[in-house]
Amino acid sequence: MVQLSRKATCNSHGQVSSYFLGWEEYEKNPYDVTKNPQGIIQMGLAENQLCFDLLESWLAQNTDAACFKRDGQSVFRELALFQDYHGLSSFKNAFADFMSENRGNRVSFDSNNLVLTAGATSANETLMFCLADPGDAFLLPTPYYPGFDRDLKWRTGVEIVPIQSSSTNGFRITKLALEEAYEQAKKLDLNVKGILITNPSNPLGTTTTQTELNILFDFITKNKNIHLVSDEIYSGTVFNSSEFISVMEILKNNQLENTDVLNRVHIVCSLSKDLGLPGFRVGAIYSNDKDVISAATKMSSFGLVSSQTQYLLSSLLSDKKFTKNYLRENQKRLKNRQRKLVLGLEAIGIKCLKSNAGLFCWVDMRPLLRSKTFEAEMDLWKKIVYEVKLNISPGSSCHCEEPGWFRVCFANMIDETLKLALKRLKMLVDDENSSRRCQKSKSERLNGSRKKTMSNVSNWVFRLSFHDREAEER
Amino acid sequence: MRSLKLAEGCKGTQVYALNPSAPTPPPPPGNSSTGGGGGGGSGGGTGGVGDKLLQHLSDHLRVNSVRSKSSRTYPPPTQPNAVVSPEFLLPCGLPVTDLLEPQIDPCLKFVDLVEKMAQVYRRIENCSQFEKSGAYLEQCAIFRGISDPKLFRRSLRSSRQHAVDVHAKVVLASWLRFERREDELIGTTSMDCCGRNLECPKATLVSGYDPESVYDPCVCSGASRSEMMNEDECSTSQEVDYDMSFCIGDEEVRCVRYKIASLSRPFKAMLYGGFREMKRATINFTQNGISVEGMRAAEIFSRTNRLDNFPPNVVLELLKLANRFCCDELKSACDSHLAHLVNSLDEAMLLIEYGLEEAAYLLVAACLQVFLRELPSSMHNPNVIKIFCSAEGRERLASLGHASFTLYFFLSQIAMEDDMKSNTTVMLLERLVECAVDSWEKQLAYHQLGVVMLERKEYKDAQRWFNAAVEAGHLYSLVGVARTKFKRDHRYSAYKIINSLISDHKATGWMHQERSLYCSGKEKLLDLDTATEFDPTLTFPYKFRAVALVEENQFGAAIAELNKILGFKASPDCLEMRAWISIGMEDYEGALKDIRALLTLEPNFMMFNWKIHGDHMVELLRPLAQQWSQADCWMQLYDRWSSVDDIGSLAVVHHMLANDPGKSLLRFRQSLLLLRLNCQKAAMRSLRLARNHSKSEHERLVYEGWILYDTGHREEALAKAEESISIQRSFEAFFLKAYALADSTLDPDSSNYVIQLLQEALKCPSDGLRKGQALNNLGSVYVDCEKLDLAADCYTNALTIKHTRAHQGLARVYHLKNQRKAAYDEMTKLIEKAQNNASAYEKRSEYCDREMAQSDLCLATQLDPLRTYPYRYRAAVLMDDHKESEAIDELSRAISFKPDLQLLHLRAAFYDSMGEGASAIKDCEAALCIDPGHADTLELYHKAREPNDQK
Repeated sequence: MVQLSRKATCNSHGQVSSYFLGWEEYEKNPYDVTKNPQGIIQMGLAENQLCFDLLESWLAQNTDAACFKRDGQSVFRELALFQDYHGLSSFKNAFADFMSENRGNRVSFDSNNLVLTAGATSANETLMFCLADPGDAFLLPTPYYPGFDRDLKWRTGVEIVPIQSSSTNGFRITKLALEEAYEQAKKLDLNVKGILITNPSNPLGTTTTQTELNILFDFITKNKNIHLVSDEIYSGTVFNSSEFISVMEILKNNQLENTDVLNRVHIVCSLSKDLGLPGFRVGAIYSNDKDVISAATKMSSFGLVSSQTQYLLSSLLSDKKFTKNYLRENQKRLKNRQRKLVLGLEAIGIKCLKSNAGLFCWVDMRPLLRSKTFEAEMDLWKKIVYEVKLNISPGSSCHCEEPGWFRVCFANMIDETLKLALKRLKMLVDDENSSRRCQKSKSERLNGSRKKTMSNVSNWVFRLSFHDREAEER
Repeated sequence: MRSLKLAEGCKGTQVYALNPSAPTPPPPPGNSSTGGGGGGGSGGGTGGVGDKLLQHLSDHLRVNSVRSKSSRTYPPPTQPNAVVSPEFLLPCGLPVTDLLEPQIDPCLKFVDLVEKMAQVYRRIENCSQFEKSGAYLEQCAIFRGISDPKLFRRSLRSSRQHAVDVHAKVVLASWLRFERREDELIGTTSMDCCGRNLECPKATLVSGYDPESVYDPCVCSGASRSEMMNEDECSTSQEVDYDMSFCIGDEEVRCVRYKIASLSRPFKAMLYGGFREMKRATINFTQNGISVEGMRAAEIFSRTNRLDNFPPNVVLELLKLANRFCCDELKSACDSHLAHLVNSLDEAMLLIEYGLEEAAYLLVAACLQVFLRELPSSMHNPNVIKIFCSAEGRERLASLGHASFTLYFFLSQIAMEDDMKSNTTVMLLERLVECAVDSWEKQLAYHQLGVVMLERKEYKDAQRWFNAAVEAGHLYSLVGVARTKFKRDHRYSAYKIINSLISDHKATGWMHQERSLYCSGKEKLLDLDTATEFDPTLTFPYKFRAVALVEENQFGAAIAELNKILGFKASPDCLEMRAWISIGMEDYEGALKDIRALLTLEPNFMMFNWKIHGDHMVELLRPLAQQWSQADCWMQLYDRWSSVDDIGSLAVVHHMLANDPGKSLLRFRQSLLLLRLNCQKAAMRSLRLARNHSKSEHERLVYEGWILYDTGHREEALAKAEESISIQRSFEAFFLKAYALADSTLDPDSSNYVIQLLQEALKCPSDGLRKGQALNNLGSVYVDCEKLDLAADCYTNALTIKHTRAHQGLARVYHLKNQRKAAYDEMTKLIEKAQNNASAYEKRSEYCDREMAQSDLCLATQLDPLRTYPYRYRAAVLMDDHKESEAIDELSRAISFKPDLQLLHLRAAFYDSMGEGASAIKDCEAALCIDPGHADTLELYHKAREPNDQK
């Protein structure tokens, strides 16, 4: 057997985490309303499937774009040969405009500062390659997207140092935590090259507040070598766009545009979440540093967006009427859907972190834990995957510091599926409650307070002991 | 069709088979009216004689067959080119529906068994300690009705445990011993003690309530009565101040006056009471029927209180003296002394007369004990019969407190097993009736007498007894009333009785089965189907439908019908029927297989309506089936064992035993197969035979160990295994030790020890079948200590030596590793390979989604309705869907024919959650009747009762 490279054989791509295990389990037994109604419902996938109808109707009305045509004339040959890594300027212009629009046109974007990449995964990694050397570190607020271990670390050799957070302040970034992380990195002899945040946050579904942003900017202003990467791929999912503040707005508002800070702030964006097109692989780096743009552009050769996609999307994004309508409708639908999930969970006694963006909720299942440990979280998670049959992501896979939080996605399914998922969760909660009540009533009995509890037990199936121990054969 | 030239067959075994000089089966006991079919001829081995014999046999049988086919002829065996026809093998023709009739169960049977079990549980819990033994005996009677030997034995043990008086202790201990059939163990005697107070023949003779010590080791096992020897020898005569003497004939016996006076009040009165004897130094005692030796002994006893050194006849004399002069102490000393001398049947026979004459309670108890421990053989001793069977005998025993319901319950049970129709049986049941006081006792006694009278075709009496049983409250006896009316040609009356039974009560399988006898056409078939639906374990409906199909010439369908029940219940009568039909369709191989299996279950089975011994049929069929050498047999056994074909395996083992009857290894295999088929009794018999035939000490110890293990003596079983290992390290000894140790939940240390033992076992020589099992068990210990990879290795190794069941363990390992798909696939493999795969479907259901699980469990129930998990699962699903009453129905359906702990517990929990406290409590009580220590049920029971207690 030929020895493969260390990179190929090492484990730091993170694919073994429970985040991906849940997916594997899902793929073995996926829910289908008719074919497999008992299957696992995928709630670990942050996909936006709520607005396909809008996209599809646009495509139906604009056949040229999808058919290699411009004003009825074929552009096939042009596209077939196009491979300039700077990308189609028409597309980049449209993309830059869309980004502005997405941020309420409070800031404008220069398409020359945009580097196209094959999705945000590639954009993030490229930025790491540009900003850090192997062994350098980036600070990331926890909880963070499980895929970052792969995207940021695996091939680049960059280390991630977590910025600790806690549910007590809604997992907000604090100055103390940031400084602690920085000290921690130094202690580990790591050269901190930057901070990477997701705004809106994956997995929290919240936008970064002005306060938080101020803390971050103060920090990078003070520490001259530190970059700030803001992953804003969920910017289009903010229910109320006024609540979303891009780092570019801070630069503008805090009059940092003429300082050295300008060049150290970078944005990662994508159309995967905003338009629900993860398969098209369109991501981008936006940076004010010409050198970064230049290097990133060269590196983008390894993962370009196909000309066909660029062409199609340039038409789409240039249709201002469409984009305006789309953003509004998309926000409305996501908001509705999020409310359904939050209310549904509330009804069965489960709370969520208050959120205003994203395709997921950060769900507080701490009351269902048998103990305040990550083992208990894994036990609960396994029960949810294997018995309740929902694939959700445990907080531990997002490097959350507190056991009991789960990321639950809500935009990759239809309403009925969500309802079913809630029903299944209800059974779990009832089951847990009843077993707790039994324990409680037992202790009540011991305490002499005899109160008849009319238990409304359900979930008998789970309580059946599967392995009635039959006598071993001889 | 397999055709065979008869001439060829006749040259071989077939002539032998018909040769009257060959050992022919004995006529069935008590069946003298039909005579001994095969035994009619005399000498000679020629075809002519065989022919005549055959003719004789067939003529004889035809008379007894309702549907005689007058035109049937038999080809003379000498005629060449003759073809073996089914008629030759079916002297009674094919089975006919008209002759089919279900037996009436000679046990208590209830319309609402759950209520009954709950009742008896309450009785046991609430009665005073002195009534407990009797309450447990009632429980025995109930468990006998649901034919669960393990539960029966447990109640019997409890009954013995709580017994107060010597009589009850003697009877119950003997019964326990009988249940183990130790009489069949060569080399043991009836008075051998198994080492615990529970069954110890000496411990039984100690009166008093002592439930705590019954499981302790008895005196026989520990140091013997050494304390007696330690005492000083009794003081010599020189040192005694004799102040008087008794004169008998010419001899004088010198005594101490006040010592003699202290023997009894009459002596005291005589010596100090102002009679003339008072003043005399010498009293003439010649006329009192006591010898000089007797008087000397009495004198010594008066000083020492001991009888050790006297010969029995002297002690007997003392007993008489004691009775005459009211010497209580002397009497009980003599009684006890003599009681301990009784060790053999002869001694008992002699001494019981004295005992009864002199009203010596312990002596009679001891004699009784010998009789009872010599059962069943002592049942054929006319003197014993006389004491037990006659009304005077019972009265004599009763006068001493030695006639009890328990005694006659035990005796009549044995008599009925031995021969239902014998006069002995009837007489013992009459005695049982005389002893019956409680209503359950009356119900049982009357009903059994009814059943026996019905068997004897004394319908009028039978009807009377059945009626009495019904009046005593035993509704099931109405079946007997109906049947006897039917026999006396009051068919409509019979129909009416059962009809109203069905409409007045919650209908059961047996009610519909019974009614089917009294109606016809569609109605009959409907009743039979309903009977099966209510109780799929009743054999008669399957048999009837099968035979009805045979009458329509649909042999294949008939076999398929019987396969349904034989798939989960190895019922001898259904095996017989399948063999019978197989012969009819000329599938001799299949017929032979079934008959062999049948004879393993019941070695004396009489086929074709009790007309031909099964062994005889084997002889007839053997030449028609494929011939196997012993090596072929091993191959066959390996194959069938691997394909989990237990009945097939039994047949092969039976075949091999015919070639090698002394092979205890084969007997042991037989017991393993029988246990899998849930035929406890037959399995134990095979184990005993294995033990009796074992060639070496270490082998014998292993089989003895298994016997002890199966009768609840785990510690003793372990000791046997250790002893065996100390003689010779063998696979089976290590396996037994590991198995007995692993039967409870293991802590890590003992797990490791069990693993070590199994590894030792695997190092010893054995064959693939056994090693596969050991690997399998090793795997499951590994699973328990979460060493999944090691477990997987074991199972994989087991599979490579074709231990098919290891798929199940491997599936579990996959499951525990969260590889459900692989687990599912593994179970699919088992399902495909196994003949009996109901349990495999059940286990597979755990590894798939709910819908597929439902369909697997549905199939499992269809294949084996006695498995309870599928019902529980379906009920739980219904419960979760808030279909409470349907969920209850699902469980009740199964509980009605299988009163199972888990089912009852779950239903109780359902009721509890529905707020139906009373029903929950009842189900808990019934469940606790089955297992009084079941923790979950106990918790639920207390919880459910709590609010009631408060009110």
